[in-house]
Amino acid sequence: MKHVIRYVVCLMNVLLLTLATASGTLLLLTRGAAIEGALKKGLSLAQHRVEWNGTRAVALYGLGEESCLALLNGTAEGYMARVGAWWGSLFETEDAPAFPDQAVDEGAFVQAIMADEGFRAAVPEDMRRATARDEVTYQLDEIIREQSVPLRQSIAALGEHALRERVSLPRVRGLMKGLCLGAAALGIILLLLNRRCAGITLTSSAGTMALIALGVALMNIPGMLHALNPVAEIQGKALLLMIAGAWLGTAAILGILGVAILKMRRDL
Amino acid sequence: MDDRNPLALFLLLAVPAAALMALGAAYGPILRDALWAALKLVIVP
Repeated sequence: MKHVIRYVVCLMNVLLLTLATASGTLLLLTRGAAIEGALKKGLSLAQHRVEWNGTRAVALYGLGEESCLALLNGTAEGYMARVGAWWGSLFETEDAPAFPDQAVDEGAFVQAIMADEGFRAAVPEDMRRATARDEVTYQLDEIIREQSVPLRQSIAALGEHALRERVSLPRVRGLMKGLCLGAAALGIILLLLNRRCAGITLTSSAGTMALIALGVALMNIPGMLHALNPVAEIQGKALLLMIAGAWLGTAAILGILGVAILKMRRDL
Repeated sequence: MDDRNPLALFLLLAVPAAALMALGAAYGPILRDALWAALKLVIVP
């Protein structure tokens, strides 16, 4: 009976350590800088796709390729940075700004398009402002948004709104932090109280974490993303690698510690 | 039961592994389909 109780305590300890690592890893996802870094991993492909689609979409309006490329230069990067900053602020303040639904500065774009000679030749004068704003700028903006952060933004905005109506995201982040620290503290206390099993507990915690990582890897999430959008694949893979690095790094530390204790105890 | 007991190490490694594998076999495909549906809904092709 005594053995069974000690075994259950060890299992709970494994669970606590895994839970602490999981919540700590998820905390990484609430940081704006981390999301921005992952988004920017797909920058060169995104910029390429923005330019490819953008120059073709606006050729109809006589806008030259050179001036269109000059307009599009750096827009994808700027939009990624804004989305990253928005995500970070979502978990920091209650009244965070809404999802950035415009990628470009509309006024500057309209001015630049109306100054273009090809555009002036192709579009009659009384139509220029409306065309520059409602057709050219609108289309370019949509292309930049869809190619640099490939989410259906109407759905994303609905989800964001529904979520923020129900829960306070900064509080969720605080709870997650509490869960991470609490579970880690409880796990360590339990480990110290039950020192005779410290080696096997740490070793099996590492094993459990490695197995969970294997399960997630087998789901092949980047492959699923690839079927939908190559930019999303790069970005998703960067995010997953970041999480996997933290998760497997913790597992490695726990595992090495556990095996070292086991070796020491058994005098191998 | 302590660190010197090989059976304890085996059980503590095998039971969570078996539980995770059983959970994965039971819910893995459902989880995957749900994830795929969500991705298809949200990500622009």
